[in-house]
Amino acid sequence: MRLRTGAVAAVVALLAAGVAACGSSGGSSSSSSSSSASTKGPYVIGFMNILSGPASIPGETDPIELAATQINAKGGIDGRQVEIKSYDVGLTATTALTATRLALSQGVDALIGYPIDAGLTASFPLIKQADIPVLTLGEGPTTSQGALKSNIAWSVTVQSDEEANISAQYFEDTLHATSIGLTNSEDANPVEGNQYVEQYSKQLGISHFVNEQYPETVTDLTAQVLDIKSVSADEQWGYPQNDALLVRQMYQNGEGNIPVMLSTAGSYEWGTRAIPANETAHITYVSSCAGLYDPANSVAAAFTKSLHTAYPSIVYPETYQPGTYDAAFILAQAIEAGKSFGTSSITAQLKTLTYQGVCGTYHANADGAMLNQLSVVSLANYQPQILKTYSNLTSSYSALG
Amino acid sequence: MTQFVDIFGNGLADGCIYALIGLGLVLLQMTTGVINFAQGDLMSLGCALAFVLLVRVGMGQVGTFVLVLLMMFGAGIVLERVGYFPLRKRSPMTIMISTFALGLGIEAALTLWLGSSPLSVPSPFGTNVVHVFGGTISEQDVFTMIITVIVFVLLFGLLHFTPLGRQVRALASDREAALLQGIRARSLSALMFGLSAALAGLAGMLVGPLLTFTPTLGFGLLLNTFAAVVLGGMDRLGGVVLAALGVAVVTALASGYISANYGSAYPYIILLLALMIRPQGLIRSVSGARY
Repeated sequence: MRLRTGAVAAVVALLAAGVAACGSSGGSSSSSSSSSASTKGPYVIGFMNILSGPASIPGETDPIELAATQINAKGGIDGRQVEIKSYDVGLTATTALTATRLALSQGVDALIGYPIDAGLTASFPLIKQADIPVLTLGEGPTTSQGALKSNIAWSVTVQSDEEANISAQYFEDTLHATSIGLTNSEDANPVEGNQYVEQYSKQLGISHFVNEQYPETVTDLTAQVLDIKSVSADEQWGYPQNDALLVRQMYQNGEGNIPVMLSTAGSYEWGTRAIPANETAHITYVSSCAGLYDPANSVAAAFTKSLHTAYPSIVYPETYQPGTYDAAFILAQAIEAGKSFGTSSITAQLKTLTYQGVCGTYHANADGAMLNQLSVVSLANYQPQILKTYSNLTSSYSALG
Repeated sequence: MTQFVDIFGNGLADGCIYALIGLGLVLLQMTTGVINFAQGDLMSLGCALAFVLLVRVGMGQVGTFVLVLLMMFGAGIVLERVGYFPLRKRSPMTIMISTFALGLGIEAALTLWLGSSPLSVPSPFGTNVVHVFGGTISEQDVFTMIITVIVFVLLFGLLHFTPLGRQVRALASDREAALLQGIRARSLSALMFGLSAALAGLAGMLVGPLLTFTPTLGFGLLLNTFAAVVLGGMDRLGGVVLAALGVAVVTALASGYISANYGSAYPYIILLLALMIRPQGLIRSVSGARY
């Protein structure tokens, strides 16, 4: 009997450990899509994104896989089939570095992704050493070409200062806010983002701010929510799970009428619906892919249709996914325009290239940021509505000091 | 005054959640001598079950409440059979590690089942608030406080006015003597694991509408609860409840009036300060009691 119970305990302990291992985040994973045989061998793109944990998005690899499928259907890039290998960069610099090492050891030809700035900056020395192009989702000043001292990194999303700039403008010109809550997680990009919001808002005459920070793993924001009770509007810059928690607690504390502007991570809510629909009335977010909702954007319409056909389970086309879809095509266009897979040729082409993508028109500015259009989108009742669009933005980290 | 009421009300509600988790910890410790590190994850499980029954199954609030409590009681018994019973003659450290592993297993299983995205658990009171001295307290918070008082009274009655409670207190006071007197610790342990898990599930159901469910929800709350349990004593229900309310209210006040940025550190600062002043804890432990 003792043997039996001991054996049962051992089996259960093994099962528990196994389940824990299955559910744990971190590490890296890889998958590949496509590709038909090619005499030249495939052009391998490493997709570097958060693929596990609370900040991951189910089906996150689908759009870039779709891009590869579509490129391959047209003969690939200059005759070479495209292969996507996905790696989990997690939320930290360490996990990103591990994923980058793995990707480089597996011989990727280019990289797309890195939504966490710290992950890119930690990995960049290795990428630079490998001398391969990287199209990033980096938003902060540390991921600009100037900061990285290299022209192999190009951002396919908007920059934090641009995002902050339009948040401040929207607070002033539309909400007529006189005081702003600045709630953000403690990591670099959200901290910098809200610092920019404060700077730009001050330039517009808003003088009262309530600054609140919290760890990204926070499970209770009561104190922060109570502190912002008297503000006219709140800028919330954190992870999607933080956004949902903040809104939920604002409603539970009678603050549901305070307008909340979420950062670009707010687009995540389309998929999770973590904020109940009846609590979305005053929630807006800054979209870096408002082109998706533009009826005149035929690329966006085709993308949405193809995505839903290829991946019926995907219910939300926004968040960072369209940017990664566009990035694959941008890379392909740069290679084909320069008729070379060499990094120097690709970077030379990216400098002048103009690409009409799902999220809008891409054209690099002096910081290497290629998308310079943002919209404020309402989340009310989960019916996307563009409230205001700001175009021709210029990232000006150096001007901000 | 308005701000004080807001902060104090939220602190009390947080304290009630800590108290419910802490009561489960203490009950178990009294009966088995085990500190259950899976208690926070059991709370997450209760919250997850409430979400599934309310949102996905469409069950009513009362039915969900009852069913989750029953399911959690069952989960507690399973936990006892798996994580405690086979190891009961091993060192307490072995059993603690076992409960820790099972907690991780529960967390991972919840992630596989519901994903890691936040989920919103509906409150029976929606987003209604009550106004007290100009401040606002959510009706869910008030409900949490009422339920906690009821649970405490019932548990107190159970421990002090029933033969079952007498056995539990005897085990807590002098385990070896109690076992020599013929107290059946085996059956008691299963019962208390079930009761403890049901308390965790209750805490999960109450806190879910105030926060959002994520698989890691319970662990952070468990850490704060530990501070209260250490302060209140591992063998005194009243002490744990008082300490839980104290820790939560002081944390809330410090977050509100000093800085919210150190909210997760305050419980431990309070614990350190209190233990510097009273190394034996705030409440005298049970020793040499007569039953």
